[in-house]
Amino acid sequence: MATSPNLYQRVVRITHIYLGPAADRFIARQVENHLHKDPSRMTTDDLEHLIDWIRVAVSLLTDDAEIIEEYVQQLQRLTDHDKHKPNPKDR
Amino acid sequence: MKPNRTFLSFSALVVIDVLLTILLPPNAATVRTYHLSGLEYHILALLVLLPIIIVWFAAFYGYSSLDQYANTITRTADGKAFLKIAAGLRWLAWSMPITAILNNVFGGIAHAHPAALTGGLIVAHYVNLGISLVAFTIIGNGTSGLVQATNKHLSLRTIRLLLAGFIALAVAYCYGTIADLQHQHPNTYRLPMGLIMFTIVAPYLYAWLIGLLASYQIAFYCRQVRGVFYNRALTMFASGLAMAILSSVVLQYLVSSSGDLSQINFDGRLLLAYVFLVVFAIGFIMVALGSNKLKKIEEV
Repeated sequence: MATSPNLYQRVVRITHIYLGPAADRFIARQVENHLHKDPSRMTTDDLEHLIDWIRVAVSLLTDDAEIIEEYVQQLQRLTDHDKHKPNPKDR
Repeated sequence: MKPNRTFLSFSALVVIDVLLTILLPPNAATVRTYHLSGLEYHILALLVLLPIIIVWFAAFYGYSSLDQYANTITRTADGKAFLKIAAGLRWLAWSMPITAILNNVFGGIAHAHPAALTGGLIVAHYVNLGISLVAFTIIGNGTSGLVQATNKHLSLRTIRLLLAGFIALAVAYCYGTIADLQHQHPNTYRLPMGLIMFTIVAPYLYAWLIGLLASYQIAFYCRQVRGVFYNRALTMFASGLAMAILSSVVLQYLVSSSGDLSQINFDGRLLLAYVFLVVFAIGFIMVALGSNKLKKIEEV
């Protein structure tokens, strides 16, 4: 399992563009309620599942599909980035 | 305060005010001016009161919605600031029915004992002033807390412009008050000029300055905070708060310069009061809508 200690912070940083001061609380809530784990223990394997839940949650806040897609794409780039990054354990 | 208790309190205040309007004797000056019977006066008073009750409802709904949102984020710095703003708006919302009830009670007492009109007017003016000072100070503490959370400072140039505008307003208010006092006998406040200037005009100007500064601070916070969805909700809330504060300042001016307790005058003053009551209500409704959107962000 590829673990990334800064992953949670990177997700929050992207979310901050859309949810401002509520970003940290929003992501922590999604991870705790839907992934049933502590936000600090989030891994790259959880990311796709988390993005699905974020898409559902944000759809409840706005009908602006374009902006939801933009937000999701930014989060998906994190998945791609982490997939292509060499795992320190493999070295 | 829980929403149910808020609306229970609101309903109780409305019932008390409607009962006082129906049961207390008619205002002699209004009956004389418009040649009304007792029944006609009471019907007229209820018709004047009805739109005002709708405005009170908007105010209670606005502060209650903000209070619910703030209670979802109490542990954060912005949550504490929003709680203070909700507390300040609660004072503004409660002040309207309470001053209306006070005016009715003192008006009724003055009808039975005309000599009591002076005392009633003085108490009513100071109660209004006290509520304005408390409400704007608490709201100002809340908006200052939000500005502090951004770690940024207000622009000196904007503060200077704000002060220049406020000084112009203050001079106009003092000029108008002094001009009125020289032509009226007895004067609106039933107090000597020195007491009026130092214990009514000066504190009102202080309260209004704090209110105007709070409007600027919430607009500043709105510009500084990021978040596309958050900002949309916050802009709605901030615009509503600024409208509620600014219209409240005008309404307080109209009430503070009123020379009778329960008199109804169909003149430009009443029309102006209704216009600003509508702005006040729209402001509180926008506060409620913005708060509900912010609350939804914390719930999904």
